[in-house]
Amino acid sequence: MQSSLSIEITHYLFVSGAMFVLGLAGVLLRKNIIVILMSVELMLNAVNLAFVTFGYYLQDVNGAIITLFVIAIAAAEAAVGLALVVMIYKNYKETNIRFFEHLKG
Amino acid sequence: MNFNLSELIVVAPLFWLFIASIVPMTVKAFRDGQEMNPFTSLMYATFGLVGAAALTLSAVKGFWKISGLNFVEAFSRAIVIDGITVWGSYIIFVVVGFCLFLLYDSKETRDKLFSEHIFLVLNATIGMALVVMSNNLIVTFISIELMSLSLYLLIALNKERLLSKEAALKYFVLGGVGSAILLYGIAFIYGGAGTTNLQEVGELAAQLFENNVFFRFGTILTCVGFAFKISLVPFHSWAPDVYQGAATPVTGIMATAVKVASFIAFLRFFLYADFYDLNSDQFVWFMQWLAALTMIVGNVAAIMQDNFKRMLAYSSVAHSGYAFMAVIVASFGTDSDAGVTSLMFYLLSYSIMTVGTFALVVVFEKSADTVLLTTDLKGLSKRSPALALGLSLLLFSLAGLPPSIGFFGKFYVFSATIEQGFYWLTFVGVLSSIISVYYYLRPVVVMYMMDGEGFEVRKEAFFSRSIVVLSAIGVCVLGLLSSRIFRFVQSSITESL
Repeated sequence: MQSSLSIEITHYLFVSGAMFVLGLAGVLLRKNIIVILMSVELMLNAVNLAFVTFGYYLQDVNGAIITLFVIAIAAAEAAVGLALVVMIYKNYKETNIRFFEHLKG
Repeated sequence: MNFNLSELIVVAPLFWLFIASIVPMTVKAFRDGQEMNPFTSLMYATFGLVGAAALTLSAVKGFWKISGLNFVEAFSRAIVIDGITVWGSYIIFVVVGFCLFLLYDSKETRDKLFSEHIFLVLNATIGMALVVMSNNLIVTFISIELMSLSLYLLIALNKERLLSKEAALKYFVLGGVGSAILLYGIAFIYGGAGTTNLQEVGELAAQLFENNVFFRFGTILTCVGFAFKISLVPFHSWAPDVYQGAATPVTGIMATAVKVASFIAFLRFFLYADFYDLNSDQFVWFMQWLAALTMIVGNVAAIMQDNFKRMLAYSSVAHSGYAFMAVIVASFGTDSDAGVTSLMFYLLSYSIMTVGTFALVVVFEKSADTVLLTTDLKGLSKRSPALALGLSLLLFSLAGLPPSIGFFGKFYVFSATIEQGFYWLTFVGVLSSIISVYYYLRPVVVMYMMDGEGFEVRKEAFFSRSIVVLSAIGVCVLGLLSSRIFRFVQSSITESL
């Protein structure tokens, strides 16, 4: 008999969706570059959770393999992003995006 | 799951490009950080591109001849080489080749870290060449990331230009969000369809789109992610800033080759899908509004720009809208071949015109801080008649005036949309291209009608001046031959579909 407390696919997807939306909100609302970077990583991790969930429920190993690829891409993106932050800190002595108003129009 | 060595030949151009890309940097490492002669590095890079083009052609000819088919698949159908791949990678190789010469001509990129520039440009090219041959959503994503990560670094590489940091960060954050949205969409498509192979997804697409909520959500998210990459209007805000802040040759690559690659990725996403027999119109409406808004906003915003490079950036946003009309035909029209062919022809014409105009900006840039306003072109017809004539021809072509290739690019796109019944979209397209004539002709007026001291033409920028003249000649000659070229594109693409 199915217990009413069992964890279904929708629960995992709900967590993943919540993480994704939180990450998106972080990118849009926060002013510190490092927090923005962390938010982008959070979005990619939400994607990983979705891939693993679908892979598990489809009984397909591809979902887990794709997750490994995404983790590698996320690491590369973090490396590039932190390099950019270091460069910006050297130039502006600050990691806040409020100084970024030279390009507009 | 079978794998044989002959599949490696299919991706040999990518290996070749990578080997060519690491030569200048390796030599630099062995010489205690002393750069190679920039011209030698440039020759290595050009050699890499030419070799990759030749390898693509020979692999294609060989495999097509052996199998008797007009396409070849490799790596469990993750990679396909067909007419679209060949045309796409050729446009990309040619444009990147032009931009390499611009990199050599531009002071800010040649004097410092030139070998790093070469490395990153060629690695971005590997990403683009992989995008156009990818037949699997995950391969598409990874190659788009390879392309984008190289570009983030390329933009930020410039030490003097303060704006470049801001541009790189804006591109990084918005590009990262775009990639995450794209990937989330891919995850849901995988969840709905059970596979990431584009052909298998496409066969199920229309049916799943109506019945499966995961698949519908994933498709829309993927479209939004791609819209970020090709700068369609609600998601375009990064494009002008990044195009302005990056070094001009890098902007040239982003506005042409990267856009071509992203468009082909988007096209492949829809190519196999039979969305034309969807019951609901909402998805088509969504896409049509994206295209219409892109054309209107891009053209109207371009009118207000004084900065020449920023004007070109908005113009490239507007041209995304025209090209996106062809994608709509390919995905929602009954005759998808017409959409594919007109898209490839449009991308070809757009790349030639745009790379020429960015070459002209390089001709005037004395240092990293030079800002070229439209009024700085005044009196150019007296000082350098050839450049003035070349730029005029390029701008006429961008505006879509008759004998040039830009006119025929728009003509084929519009006739495809009319045939498939997208009437109001075509009307918006024609209307916005009339608006665009205003800002494309303003530099021509400034050059020919206003006298005075504008910016000096840099005498040492020989390659850039040649590229302006060459692309202007190309615009006219290809324009006159356009029906023949269009048939050539058509025959090489439709036979593979």
